[in-house]
Amino acid sequence: MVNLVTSDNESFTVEKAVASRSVLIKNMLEDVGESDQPIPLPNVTASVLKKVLEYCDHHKNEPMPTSEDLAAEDTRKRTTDIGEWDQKFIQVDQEMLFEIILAANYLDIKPLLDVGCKTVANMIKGKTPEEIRKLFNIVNDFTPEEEAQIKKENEWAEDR
Amino acid sequence: MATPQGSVEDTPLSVWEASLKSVAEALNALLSATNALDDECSGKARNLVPGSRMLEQAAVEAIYSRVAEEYVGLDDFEQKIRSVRTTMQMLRNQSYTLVPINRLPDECLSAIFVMGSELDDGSRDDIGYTSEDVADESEGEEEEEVEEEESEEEGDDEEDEEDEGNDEDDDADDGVDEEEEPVVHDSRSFGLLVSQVCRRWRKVALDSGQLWTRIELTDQPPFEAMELWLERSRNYPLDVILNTEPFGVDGKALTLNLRMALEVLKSYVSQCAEPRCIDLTINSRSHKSIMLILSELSQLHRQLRLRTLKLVDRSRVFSGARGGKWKTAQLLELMRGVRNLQLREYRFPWDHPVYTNLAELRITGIESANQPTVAQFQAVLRSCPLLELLDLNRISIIADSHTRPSSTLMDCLRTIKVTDLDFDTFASIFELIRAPQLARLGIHTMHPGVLGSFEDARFTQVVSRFFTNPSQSMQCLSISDAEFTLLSPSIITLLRKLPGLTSLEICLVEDVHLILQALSHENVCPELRSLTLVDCDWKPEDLSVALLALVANRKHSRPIERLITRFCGLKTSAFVSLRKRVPYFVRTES
Repeated sequence: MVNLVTSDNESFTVEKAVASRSVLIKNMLEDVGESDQPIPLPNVTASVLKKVLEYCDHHKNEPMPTSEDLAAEDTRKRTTDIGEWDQKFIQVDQEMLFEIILAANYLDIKPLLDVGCKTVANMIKGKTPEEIRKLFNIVNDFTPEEEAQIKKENEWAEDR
Repeated sequence: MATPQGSVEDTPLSVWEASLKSVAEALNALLSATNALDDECSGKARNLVPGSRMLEQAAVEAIYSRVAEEYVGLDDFEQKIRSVRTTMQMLRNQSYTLVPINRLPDECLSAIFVMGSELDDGSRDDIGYTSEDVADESEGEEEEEVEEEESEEEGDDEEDEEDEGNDEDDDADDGVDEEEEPVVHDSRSFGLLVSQVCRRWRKVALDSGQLWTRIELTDQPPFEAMELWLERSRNYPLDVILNTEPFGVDGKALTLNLRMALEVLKSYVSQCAEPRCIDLTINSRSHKSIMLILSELSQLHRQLRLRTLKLVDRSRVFSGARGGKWKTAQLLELMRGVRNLQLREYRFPWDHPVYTNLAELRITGIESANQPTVAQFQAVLRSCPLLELLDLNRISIIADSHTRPSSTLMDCLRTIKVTDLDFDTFASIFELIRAPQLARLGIHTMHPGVLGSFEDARFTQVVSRFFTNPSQSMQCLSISDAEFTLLSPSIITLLRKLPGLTSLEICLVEDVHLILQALSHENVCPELRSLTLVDCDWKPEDLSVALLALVANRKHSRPIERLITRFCGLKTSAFVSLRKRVPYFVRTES
């Protein structure tokens, strides 16, 4: 078992197979060897780690992506497919969604990072810039010069 | 801001707030004064009648002149206010609380953008060609194809001028109302879309070269979009695409345009400091267009590296003499580096294989006039010593009944997928190849061959010869049989040869419960973890019982961790029980 301590000082004791879905933790465990020392995770809060561990537990038996898989990803196009369980798992509010992506990035859990990024990409797809701004509570902060350049680029793209 | 001592500290925020307050007060004062001035001037103007005293009239005119002088300064005010507004909006956009997505660092935002640009809609295959397209085009277009062929033979570029007009009409229909923001669908535009949301997103998008790699050779002069994309793509591999499908028949105008577009591309590539990687997709009805692109790019074979080549030739007319064009040294040089070759309906130059670095070969729809002989196909395989993946779909090979070719050892081959082959072709291919490292095998729907009908016994014979010894490398097997010719015992015989198998997918096979029983009780495929059954609903009760036994009885081998059943008519009681026992279980019924 592995003991993980979050930024808000909460401890989580989990199976090694679950914790090792994180390449960061896996490498730490390999570096320190067998030890009861808790592993501090200063960039992850308890509520987010709980969610991340739920993902890791569900996927603990799946083979870890190899460097070969990752290299192949560079040359192949990805698809929108997100597994049924993953889709339900990632149905959270925006704040939690971004926290999960941040945690997956920090903990180096590539499949979870992909699920998070795909979810956001799917939210963006098919919308106009204004609809995207509304979705993420962003305001249009372009200067008139930038607006003019954007208009020109749109015209070029439409003329092709 | 008030300090604990009560004094006022001039922080930028307090200065800004004070300034904003002053501007608001000044603007209010200006508004009131303007209204007052308006009232006064309007009153005076109303009272002025013809013959009024010159002095009164001059006073009103003086006010007008003064207003006109000062009015010019308002433009400057407005510009400054706009600038302040932009800065304020930009500051507000930086908030983590108001804009939660800001918590993501640029690298994550960039990854999201890149993923969005790569997501496909799932209805198209790798080569951008749907099965419906094949059906549509195969009806009633033979005549046009022959016409094109004849004009090419004569060295003439004559094409139907009307098509140009149609192309323009199509373009016009695609136009977007200027007043509305465009809803962007294609992957090339995703970069454009996200670059128009806010300044931060724009910066991240413009710094993400992968968003700008899709280069369309159907772009129109003066190619501003193409140049912009090329510039923003930095040094990332380019996705160069010629897809004339939306334009119907490839026309003369299209060829001229293609030449100009290629010049822009060549000029850019030749200025790159490092050789540029290119993935090239050509979907055209004109073989001339295909050869034009390849020969133009081959002139730059030192400056570019062709990694992937996907060809769809919709002309469907074969001329053996054309194979000679593949002999040119430059073209050979260009093709030598290709790692991924996908051909659909293409008149493959079987006699000139030059693919020494090929890792993936996918061929679809090579039948009748252009089918290779066994010897030609063997030559292709021998010229690809690094081949890792072979995917053959609707291809037939001319079998030689007199001589039996020796098999070719393919040490790197890890994946074979065959779909819609006649049995003779299937048998020939598996006799030609020895793949000791094969890990994934997909066999999907075979048809009776010319040499004899497809029999289950012959299938067993072929696969038994292919897997002479039990294969430890084989991990994934997928079998589907829309012709219902394969019998479960033959599949069991095959499974006995695959002790290292971890994933099995079976579709449209009768009596699949017999296979499950073998997996449960006979220690067949002890490493199996993942099982997918699709359309195996002949005996649902037997299947339900066999599945339950499989997940319960594999005590001396690995348990099934992943089970997917689609349209198998599973009983509800079995479903409930399976859900409890299998960590990942998905069931789909109609």
